[in-house]
Order: sequence, then C-alpha cells, then structure tokens
Amino acid sequence: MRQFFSHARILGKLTLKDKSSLFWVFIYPLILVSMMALAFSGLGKGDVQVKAAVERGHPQAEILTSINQLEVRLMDSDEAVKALRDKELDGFFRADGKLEIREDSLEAQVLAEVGTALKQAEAAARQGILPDFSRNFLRTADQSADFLTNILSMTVAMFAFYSYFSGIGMIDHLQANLSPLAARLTTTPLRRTSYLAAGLLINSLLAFLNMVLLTFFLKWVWGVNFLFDPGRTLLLLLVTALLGVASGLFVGSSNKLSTKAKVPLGIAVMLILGAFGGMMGTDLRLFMDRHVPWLNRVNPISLVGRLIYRLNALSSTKGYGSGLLALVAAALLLYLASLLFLRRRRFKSL
Amino acid sequence: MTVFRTYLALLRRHWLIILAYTGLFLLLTLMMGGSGAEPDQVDLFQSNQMVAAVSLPTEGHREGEIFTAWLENQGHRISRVSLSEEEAREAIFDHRFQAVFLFEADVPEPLALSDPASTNGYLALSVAETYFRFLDAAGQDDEKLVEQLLDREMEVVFLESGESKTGQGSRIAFFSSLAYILLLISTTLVPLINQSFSEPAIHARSSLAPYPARSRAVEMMLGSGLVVFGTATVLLLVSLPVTGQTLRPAGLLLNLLVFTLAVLTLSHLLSSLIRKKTAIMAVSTVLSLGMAFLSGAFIPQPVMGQVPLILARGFPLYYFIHANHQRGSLSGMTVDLLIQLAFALSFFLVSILVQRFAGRARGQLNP
Repeated sequence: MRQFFSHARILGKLTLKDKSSLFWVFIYPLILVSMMALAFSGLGKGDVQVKAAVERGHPQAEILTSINQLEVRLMDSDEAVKALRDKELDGFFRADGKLEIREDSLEAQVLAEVGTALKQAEAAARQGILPDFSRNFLRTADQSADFLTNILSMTVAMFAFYSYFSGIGMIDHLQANLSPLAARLTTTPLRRTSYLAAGLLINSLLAFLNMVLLTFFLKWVWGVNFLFDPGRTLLLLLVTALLGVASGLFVGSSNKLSTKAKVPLGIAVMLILGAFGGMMGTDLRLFMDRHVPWLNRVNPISLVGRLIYRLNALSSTKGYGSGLLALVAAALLLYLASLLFLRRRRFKSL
Repeated sequence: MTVFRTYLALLRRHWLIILAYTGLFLLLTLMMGGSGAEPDQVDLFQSNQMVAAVSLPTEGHREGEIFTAWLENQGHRISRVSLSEEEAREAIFDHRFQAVFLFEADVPEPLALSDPASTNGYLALSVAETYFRFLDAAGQDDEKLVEQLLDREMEVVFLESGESKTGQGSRIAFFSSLAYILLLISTTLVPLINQSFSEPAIHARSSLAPYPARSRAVEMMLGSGLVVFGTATVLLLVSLPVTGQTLRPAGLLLNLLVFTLAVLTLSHLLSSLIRKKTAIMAVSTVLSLGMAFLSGAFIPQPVMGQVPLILARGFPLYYFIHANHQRGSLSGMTVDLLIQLAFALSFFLVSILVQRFAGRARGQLNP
C-alpha cells in the first residue's frame, strides 16, 4: 500500500510537471470554453428586431402599425423600396396586398406569417366568423433550447476525456523504448499493476479536479450552470476522467506509434467525436442521428454530453445509471487490456 | 533545390501520419458540409416550414389526427411519434424538433412544447394557436371550413432579381468548415515540418553550408506553399459535390485563393515564432478553433452577437466568411479580399522580421 501511494505521489508530480499535459488538461479547456461562450452568448438574444414598412393606403395599415413585435413605419412605395435595398427594412407590405422582401430570412418569415394571419382573419370576417384573439387556445409548456448549454455540455464531456493525455504520459514513463526515464524505470523492481493503478487513480483525480474548476468557471464567469445536480454531475465527470486515462493507457500500450503521433491523434479523434455529438453546432449531430444513428449511441462524448445536459438543463436522470455503468465497464476493460499489452515486453536494444 | 527536396523527403517520411490527420479532418469537413446541404436551389420564397412532432395516444385521437393531417397538408415536416413530456422536452432542447404537440385522450387541444424565445419555436406555436383559435370560432366539428379559411397565404415577392437565397446557407457553411480545417491542418503541419529545419544541430550545419540563405528561405516557402495549397485543393475537390452548385464559382474560388495565401503566411509566421513541437500543436489548435468560433465558421455570422464579431475582425477568417456571404459577387467581396491580402502581407513581413531577429540572436549566442 505504501508503494501504491508513493507511485501515486510520483505520478501526480510527473503529470503536473509535464507542460504539455498541463496545457491540454488545465489551460486549453478554459481558453476554449471562454471562446465558445463569447461566440455563442449573443445568439438570438434581442438581436432579431423585425423592421417593416407599410405603403400608404394599405387597407390594414392601422392594424400592422399597432403590432408590438414589429417596428412598422408608414412609407411611400419608392421610399420603402430604397430603404429595403439599403437594408434598413426587412420587408415592405405593398398596398396591392403583397409583401416585398430583399432575401429569404427569419425576419422575412415573421413578416410573411403576420401577413398570412391577417389574410386569414380577413377571410374569416367575410364569412361572419370572428376568432377570439383575447385568449390562448393551446396549453403551452416552455422548454429552452439554449444553444450555448447544448454545445458546452458536449465540450465539457470532451474535456473530461482529456485525461487521455495523462494515460499516454504514463505509458511514456513505463515503456523502455519511449523515454530515458522509462528505460531507467525498467531496471528497477517496479510493480506495474501498482504503478498503473496508482497512475489511473491520481490522474483521474487530477482531471476531475480540473473539471470541477471548469464547471465553477462556467458557472461564475459565463453563467452556464452545470452544477444544477452537483452530486450526479461530478460523479459522471469523475468516471469520464477515469475512462479517459484508461483510453490513454490502452492507446499508449497497444501500438508502436510514437507519443508525438498519439497526442495529435487523440486531439483529432476527440474533436471529431465531439463534433459528431454536437460540439460545433446541432446540424452535424442531427445529420448523424438521421443517417448513422448507431454512431452517437456508442460515441462516449455524446453519451456523457447528453447525460450532462439531461441532469442540469432538463432535470432528468434518464439513462444515468446505465450510462455510468457502461463508462465504468469500458474503463475497466481498457485498463485490463493495457495491462495485457504491457506484459513481458522485450526490446532488442534501447 | 536541396532544401525543397529535403522538405519533400520529410513529407514522404511522415506521409502516413499526415494522411491520417488530413483524412480525419476531411471526414469532418464532409460531415459538416453535408449536414447543412440542401438538395435543390429554390427560386421562390417558401413560407416557414416547421419541423415538429405530434404524439397521439395509442387508442387514437380524432382532433389530433385531423390537426396532424392539416399540418402535413400545409407542407410542414411532421413526425408521428410516441413521446412522454420528459422526452419531448429533450427533443426540443437538442433541436430535433421546433415544437412537439402532445395529445391526451379526452382533451381536444394538445400540450404544445417549444422554445418561445427562438423564432422557429415562436412561429410553430403561432401556427398551432391559429388553427385551434379558428376551430373554436368556426365550431369544433367544422374542420373543413377552418382548413378553407387557413388555406390563405401572404404572397411574397423578392426585391428586383426575384432570386432566393435558399440553398446558399449550406454552401457558405461548407466553405466555412473547409476554411477551419485548412487553417488547422496548415498551422499544424507547416510549423511542425519547418521545426525540423530549425533543430539546433541542423540549423548550425545549414548556416555553415555554402548555400544562399535567400534560396533556403524561398525553398522553405515553396514547401510550405505545397502543403497549404495542396490541402486547400484536396479539400476543394472533395467538397465539389456541394460547392459545385455555386452560381458564381469564380468569386468564391478567388476568395479561397486569397484566404489560402493568408493561411500560408500565418503558418509561416507561426513556424518562425514557435520552436517546440508540443507548443505548435497547442497554439494551432487554440488559434484555429478560436478563430473559427469567433468568426462564424460554425454559426452563421448574421445570427451571432456583436462582441465576437468585433473581436473576429482581427482575423482573416472573418473576412473570408464575410466575403462568402456576398454570394460570389466580386464587387461585394472586394473590401474583404483586400483586407485578407493585407493580412497575408503583414504576416509575411512580420515572419521575415522575426526570422531576421532570431537569426541575429542565434549568431550572438553561437558565434
């Protein structure tokens, strides 16, 4: 047990001294989430102001100018066309009953909907039917589709897997052909099971600590709360960090690629899996779900990201237990496989 | 051409890693472009088509069935599903549907879930609300009359050209993702390869060799150009199925050419500034992703907030994407193209300055 703690202490120090791993696990996540929050925080918040003009003499000019959601002005035809061309207006209700627009945009869609509603009300009035606009006819339940929370949950999931780099670093210290330290360590009576288990534990804990910092950073600096259900969320992030280290151990030990190749490979694969899960926008995830639905079911970043937003944005624990068990099982499997790969490796020369 | 031949030899030596790295990101470009692709160019304004789901009880629901059929007749994309409220909330949150209408037995009106803060969610609610409002006014059993009344649409005409922008969004999205991948691959590969030439021992030997420094620099730039323009060409060729439908390809190609030039000089500047391989990966990833997020490579510029767009004006990627929004019109793109060229020139000049100062510093340390 003493040896185990000694290994944990040494490996923890090695991880903290490794500038590359320090950057990828601690600094890069803070930089990237800040950029994402900055880029996506202004989305759809008060920026959509629909500006329209009504031609003088339009039969419904009075109704149109009284709609609160629109910024409507009365104009002459020539003046309105010029304003439309100069992008001062999104649309122009002509006196002949048509709507003139510059381009097919969301604002134009809103104006078309308003125009359609007026035509329908006019047709109803002609038939003696008077719809009641003073009350609601639908039972509604609001559900925010907050884009920022959506993509950041996938990003946090991806960063939880960045403990992968610590796993790669551990193998770098253990396989004699990869580093001078590893060559020295192979000549010592080192128990690999204890060394690997201690590394798995300490690196998972360090990565978890980073995820705690990241979630606090997101909550306090950017106002994105991933600690709505702190117990379950933090347990999920801890298990994800564990799987990340185990993946690093597996990739590090199972092939002959150099560490310099394994690091970019890890970054690229995680970025792509994150993108498939929706980290770079929802279109790609919906596309994948429509055409390759099995992929995101086995995509660990998508699985963790979904669980994070279910817990914190939807207050739902659906799939939490089974998801957590799947992650633990995968971590154990990869850890045991790495032990197998590391057994009795011989080198012709070092 | 010794240096250029060495450059090619390095590329040949690491071809497998380069191929795997490029291949992975090529896949990402295709996926990102494909996900936004629309099948046809439409020349008419299309009224809002909601993507919604209707959940009906297993024993059936008369009003729900009629409402669903009406929505489908109106051209909306409706999925008939069986969802609980919890599942419906998740479907709205992860943007699968703009609205979900949950019908319960013995209740004629559905529970409508949507995000009223989003334009699409608001419009979806408005369509459903109108239907049930008119149904109430006409009498619950007079669905035919309601359908007749609601079968009226605003006639929409386009200013001047009558040309719709429908379908352009997917091409802009494709070019934007292509630019991000080009930026990432170039700012990673070029500094990594150039780094091999600045290893202390190799640099010392190169300095002693009777090989003109100017030729060395030109050949290095030639090698970097091969990597950057080669990557751009491969990305463009692979994306042809989508970008090939472009109305005015000359403008978009010119924009890509100028942007590639800016990427080449930026990559060269990075290779002059950074010597450590691990730092190169870190800087290229942060720089490319940061530029992409701020400049609107993943989200259309018109819907982004003002703060990121103001910050993005410090990067060439912003002007590349902005120029693509001009739909290939050369007159509309001129300013963006000139700014990108200015970026390319300034990156190039700074990299020359850095190389000169770095050379002097080395000269002082290792006389």
